[in-house]
Amino acid sequence: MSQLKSMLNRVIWSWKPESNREAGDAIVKNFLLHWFPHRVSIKSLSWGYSFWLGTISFTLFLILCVTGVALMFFYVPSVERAYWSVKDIEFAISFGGFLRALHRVAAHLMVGLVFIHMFRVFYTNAYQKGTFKKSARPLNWVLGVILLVLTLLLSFTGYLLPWDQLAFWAITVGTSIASAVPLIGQSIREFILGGTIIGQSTLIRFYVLHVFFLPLILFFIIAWHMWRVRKDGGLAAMEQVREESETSETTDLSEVKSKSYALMGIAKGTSVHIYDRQILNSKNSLDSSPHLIRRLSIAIIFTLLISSVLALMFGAPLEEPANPNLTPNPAKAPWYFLGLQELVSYSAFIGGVLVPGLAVLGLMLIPWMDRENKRVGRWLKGMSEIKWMIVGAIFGTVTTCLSIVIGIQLPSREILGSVFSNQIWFDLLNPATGLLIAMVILYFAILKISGSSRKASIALFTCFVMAFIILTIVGTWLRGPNWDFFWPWQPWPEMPVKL
Amino acid sequence: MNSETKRDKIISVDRILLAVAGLLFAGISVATIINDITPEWKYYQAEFKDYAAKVADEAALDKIPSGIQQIWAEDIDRVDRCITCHQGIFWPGLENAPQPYTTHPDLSIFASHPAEDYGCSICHGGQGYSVDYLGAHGYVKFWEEPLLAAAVASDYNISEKNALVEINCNICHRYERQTAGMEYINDAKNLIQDKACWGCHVINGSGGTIGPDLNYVGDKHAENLDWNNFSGFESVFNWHIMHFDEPAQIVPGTVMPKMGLQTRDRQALAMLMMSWKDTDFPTKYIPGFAQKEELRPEEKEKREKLLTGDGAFFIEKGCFVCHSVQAFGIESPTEKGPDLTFALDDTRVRFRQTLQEFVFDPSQSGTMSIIFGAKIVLTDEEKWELINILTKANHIYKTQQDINN
Repeated sequence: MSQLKSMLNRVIWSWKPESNREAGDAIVKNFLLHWFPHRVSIKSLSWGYSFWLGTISFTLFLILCVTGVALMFFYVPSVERAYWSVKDIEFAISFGGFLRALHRVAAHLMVGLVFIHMFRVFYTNAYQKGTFKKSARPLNWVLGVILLVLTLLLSFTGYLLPWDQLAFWAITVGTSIASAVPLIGQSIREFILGGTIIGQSTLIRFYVLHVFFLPLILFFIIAWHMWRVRKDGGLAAMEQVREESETSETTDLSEVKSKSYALMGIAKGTSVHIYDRQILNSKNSLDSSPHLIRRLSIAIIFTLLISSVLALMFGAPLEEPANPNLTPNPAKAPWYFLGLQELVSYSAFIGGVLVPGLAVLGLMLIPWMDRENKRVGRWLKGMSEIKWMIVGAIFGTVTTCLSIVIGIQLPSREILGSVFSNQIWFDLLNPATGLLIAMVILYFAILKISGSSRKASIALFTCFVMAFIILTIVGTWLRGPNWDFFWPWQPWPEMPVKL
Repeated sequence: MNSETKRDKIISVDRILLAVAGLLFAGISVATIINDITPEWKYYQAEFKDYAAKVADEAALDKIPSGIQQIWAEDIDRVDRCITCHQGIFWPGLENAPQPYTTHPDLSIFASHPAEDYGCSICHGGQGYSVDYLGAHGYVKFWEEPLLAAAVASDYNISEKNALVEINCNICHRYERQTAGMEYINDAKNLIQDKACWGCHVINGSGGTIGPDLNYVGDKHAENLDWNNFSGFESVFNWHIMHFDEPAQIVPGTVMPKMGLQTRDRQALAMLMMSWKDTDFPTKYIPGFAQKEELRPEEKEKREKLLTGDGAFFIEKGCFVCHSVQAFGIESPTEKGPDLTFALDDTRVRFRQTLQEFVFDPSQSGTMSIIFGAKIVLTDEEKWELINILTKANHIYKTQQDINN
């Protein structure tokens, strides 16, 4: 028995430390043991502060990797075979339909949750530097925005792969937006497509990006993003924990050795030490193992659970095979781009180039637009902050709805067309431009009134979120054939069938 | 709440949550597995054994395959999994069993259309890839080829319940003037000639240009048709039916005359329209498909001349590849063998045989014994014909010689 055990040990764990020093070093060098801090504050652990959105997004990414690799064994990235290999996955492969549905559900959830994760970070003011030494939270916010863009690109490239009508035309609409870039637009589109039309070269390009390059880049930036969380002193909620512990009478404010780069050195006092005040104590924190690990497991399992249930409930659709000669009406981009498509319907340049460009740039610059560095790691609280959120929400709703109404009611092309003949005027004078200018005015007006860049940012961000949500809803549910407006209770004209 | 009890609460609630999560996860895993291992087709395969037991012995029953079954017709790139459930298709004796266990109503069709070369959906429609009832029969969104079954025929009040299958028959049989068993399409083809539709339309590659080209009209999608003046069930098939009734009502301003067609004629013509599709099937699947090169006028004249008269025999049988026959004006492109004009004398000189002996036993000549043995196998009748023609050739030559002298 003991022989069997030692044999088993040799197979699964061959290394035995020769000395205490080697044993200690092995622990210090072990990545998994250092993923989490040894203690975690109750505040960071709570469901209600972060909603664990980052963890859930990462779990979804892992689900996508696993299901994606499984699907790669069956999917054929060729124009002739792609659609039919997806049919095979759907009908003839064990768990094929489930895998595909899970992959799709997880992809949509990931896009949604990454957005919501960003909202959470914004409204908890967690992009600010805070008071920790060497904290670089603004950098981590920028990494987060890059991750958001990469997530969208991953979803977008995956959209083409089934090679059905939905895929083909969503990518047609999506990539045609690129051609609205002045001067080099057509070249950019050709670069993306690998030609002038969506064909085999586009499919293989999107496939390689989707299964290799984008996930690889995403993985490394996620790793960087998580590492920064540790380096920045944990979740921004730690700012609050630190403040509370410092004002508490029982806390010992003297600095203690808190970190070293050689474990044995701490005991012997021969290593570089970092002295810091002990923020976490037995009252405001718990051991990471098992309490953080347990909660992590709960979050991961529930993510798996909910996405599996959704996958069982809603299979992934597969429309008719892609037909370049037959445009479905309406042809729509993936849902997260429908807000942009709505704006593109007014002006391709404003909606497809200027707005998304400014939105990404604006999001990245938030930590530098607002450098107040107050109330870091706290949810909005009190009328002084919530007031501006409400103002932003109302302003966003009103201006967005107004611009849509103007877009529908005023035949601006006919009116403007009688005065101007140059396309530039249509690009300059349209509801999308109006919306953009209204947001800029909102920001500076509130900056002036409240004298606070945080409050102005809250209003602007909320206004942007409302505009995004409303435009997406309109693009998804209220736009029918010919991009005409339909109320939810108005049926779309039905397309005749073949037989 | 003091911090101790808060911590204790987190720990105890989390333990319960983890347990619940684990249990639910186990539950969903079981549900997923059950969902995967209990497809409808397994039920049908189990049932089939009961019906098969009535007409087959133990040994045959043991050979019934299980699992997803498919026919892959490679030439036409079709995968049909219909036989996963329709396991009795090739079993005589189950004619009266309920669907999906029934024998194919016309087993003789497989002699000319082997299932392994054609599959099922090429004739019957439906979605061959699918293995569930609605999906396989094509009664789902995003699949445009429904099973051409009685249910669809009755939607259009077509009296012959299997008539719609003729649409798919005619995808291959389009160039045949009349095809056995395709009553509707045959009638429609007659109408095309009676009403001289080719006067205005391009049909099967030729015709007038007053109306639209109908060569591939079956590929037209609903989006390509005018629905503004249409009332009734909106389908491409129905559009054609209504359009044949009152062309001007469906397409205002059209010059297409009203033909005064009966309901059945309109249905038949609409079926013909639906069948004219472009395909990438190999031409061997398309009877009557004309494969011919274009000839210059002088070449055409020469070939026609060669194919008439006594010399035609050598062209038809392929002798002219190696042998010229001067007497009939036949020039061999290779001239590998001697001119057959002199065969009557040649056999005597070279093989010491009469022509008759040589034709019936060419063993003296290695090449000709292979040719007559395997390549150009002649019946006795043909051999006599050959001897007669060659004698005649010799005679013609000699007569000419006499005249010349």
